[in-house]
Amino acid sequence: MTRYAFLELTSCGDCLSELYMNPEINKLLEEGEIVYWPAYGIVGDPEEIGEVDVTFIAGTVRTRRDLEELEKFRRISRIVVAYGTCSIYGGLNGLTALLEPRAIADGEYVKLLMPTVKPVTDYIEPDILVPGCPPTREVMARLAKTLKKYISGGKPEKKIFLIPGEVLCKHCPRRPSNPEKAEMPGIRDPNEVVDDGRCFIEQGILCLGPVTANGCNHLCIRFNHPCMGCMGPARGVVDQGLNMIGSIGSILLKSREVKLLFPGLAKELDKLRDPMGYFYRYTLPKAMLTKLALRRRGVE
Amino acid sequence: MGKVIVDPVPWVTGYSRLTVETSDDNRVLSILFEPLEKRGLEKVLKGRSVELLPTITPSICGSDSWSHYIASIKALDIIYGRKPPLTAIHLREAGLLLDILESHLRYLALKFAPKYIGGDVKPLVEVINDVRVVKEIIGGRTRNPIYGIAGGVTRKPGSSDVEVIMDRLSRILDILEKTSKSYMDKISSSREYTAKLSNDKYRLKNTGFIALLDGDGKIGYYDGRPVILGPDGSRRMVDEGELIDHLVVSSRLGTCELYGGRNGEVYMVGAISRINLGKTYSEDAEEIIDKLVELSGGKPLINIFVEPIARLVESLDISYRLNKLFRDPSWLSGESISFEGKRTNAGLGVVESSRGLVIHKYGVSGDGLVDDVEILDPSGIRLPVLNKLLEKYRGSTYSSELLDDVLEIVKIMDLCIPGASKTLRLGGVRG
Repeated sequence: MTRYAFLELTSCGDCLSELYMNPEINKLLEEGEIVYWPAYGIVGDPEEIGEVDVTFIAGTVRTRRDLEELEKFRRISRIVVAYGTCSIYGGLNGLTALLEPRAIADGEYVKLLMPTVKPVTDYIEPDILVPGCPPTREVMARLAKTLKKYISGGKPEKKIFLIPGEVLCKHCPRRPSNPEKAEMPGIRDPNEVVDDGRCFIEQGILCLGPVTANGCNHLCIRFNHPCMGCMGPARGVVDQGLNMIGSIGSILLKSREVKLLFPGLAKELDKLRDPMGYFYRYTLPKAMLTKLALRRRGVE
Repeated sequence: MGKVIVDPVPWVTGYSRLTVETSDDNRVLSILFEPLEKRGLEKVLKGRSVELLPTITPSICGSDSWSHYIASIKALDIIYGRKPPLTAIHLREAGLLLDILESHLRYLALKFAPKYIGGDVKPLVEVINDVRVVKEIIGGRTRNPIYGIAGGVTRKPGSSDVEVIMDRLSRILDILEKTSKSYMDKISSSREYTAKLSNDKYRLKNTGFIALLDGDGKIGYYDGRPVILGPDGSRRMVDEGELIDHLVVSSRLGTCELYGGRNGEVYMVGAISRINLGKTYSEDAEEIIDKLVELSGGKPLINIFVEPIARLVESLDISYRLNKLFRDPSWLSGESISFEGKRTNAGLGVVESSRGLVIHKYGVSGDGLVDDVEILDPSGIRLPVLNKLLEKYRGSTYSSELLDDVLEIVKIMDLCIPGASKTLRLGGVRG
């Protein structure tokens, strides 16, 4: 019987419940046994649980206990699934990466915290990575299919990334007919724009499609909402935020840039009030600038 | 003196610890439940562009993510000075109700039924799957929805969507009508459960109740006004801003004082509070409430083991409301966004969630950045209620049965630690 563990590290606390509710995953679980999931009353000392076939891990490493648990479960698990964007890139939880422990807790609780928040992938090598906030139904189905291959034994020879990784814009339903000519007419608050159904960027709305991996089947876009980047960087994108800034730089007011010159463009860029929130909502711990800032603070 | 530590505490979302201190003669000196999951997410809300908050704040508590989302969008409506049209209001309300329904059903299926109903959870799981389909149609995702915008919603369901919605909703109501009857029969004949309902140990003491009610005194999940039923039985409507002041006297994490009242009283929120204070829409739900009142010895309902049945009542009532809403979906033909309005520098959004009140209050600087945030999450309001209940064990002889009993109360309280353990009042604590 396949033995499963559910390890929830510091997070919003719902990714693994979502996973459990998925009918295809649930069927697999019913045929096996859940040996660890404190949120649903299944507790135990990881040292005494014995070997686990599949451990699903969600969340980030924020507390010292998170790290201890993570390392223990990597040791005893045949297959580790990093589930959800927090576990791979930091996710929304990662927005606190630059906060020192004292800014988050006080008194004796400070001692519980790590110097910064990091994704699971910074500490261990998972076998399967499933991004999404939360991962979509299609990705969960893909996960179920992948797990079935290994239920009776073995593990993936190399890390499996469960989404294609191509850039979201490639098959976007709002893709401009001639992307080469696409231009961003300025930077606008999405709440102020009467959406005309065209590419969000062509309407002046910040959409992270150009730098984000497609693993959601354009879910937000189909709901007339710009991409927020929750699937993490597309293949070839090293730093989601820096690459997005590069993309904007190449298309913002490009037909008028000679006339406006730097002061005119800078004035428009000033409208971008919150680059951290817009560009690093899900990947701040992985940002080069974060790493630099933490290194200066002596945090590796 | 001895100490028993349960770490992590089971049946709780997120990381927490329970400490029981005992005397040399094995009497319980104190029991404290502490949230230990520190994230600091609320701290990084300050300095964000306000329009981003609805996409970040659902992460405060994953299992009540829609409530945080809708509260955040409502705060945004005020900041942008917009009044959403009826179509948007109904779609937001429907999403909120569906999320509360799913959360209630998950609680009943995973935390309650296996022990007290005999594990018959298949009908509930079927309903959960239907609810999730409808949620995706309305808000895009089962968690962290994406259909809100200041002054409305970004998408209306099409006619084929509506057909699916109506079909699923009707099935949900049908199953829940049957399930609630069979559950009530089983509960009424369960000696273990009825004994708990009449046991004084599980009665909330010095506890008030807070719920949102509409103008007719019915539960107003989306746009009700807060009403407080004090521990002394007094009942009054309060201003939402006043409510924040009323509840917060200390931000000392992990203690009874988090979200307590000024006079040492605590406040219960969620299904028990709502059915204590407001009326439901469905006669079937009212019938169950009558039965519950009979079983637990009168109103207000103050026994913590009423919580699961209160959630069952609400599940039935919510599915009734949803069916009523979509029976004549002509409201869907209206506009879904209103862009008219003048911006302001503060916004407040209050809604109910499965566990109770969610309040988001934002202050915004001239350049649109958030400069003040106050967020109340229901698990934080429930924490002191739990710790107050655990005080009743003081002086009892410690045993493994006592610990099991305590953990059962923790399970019934259904806390979400990521939501409860945040730091409050970035600008300092009043009190």
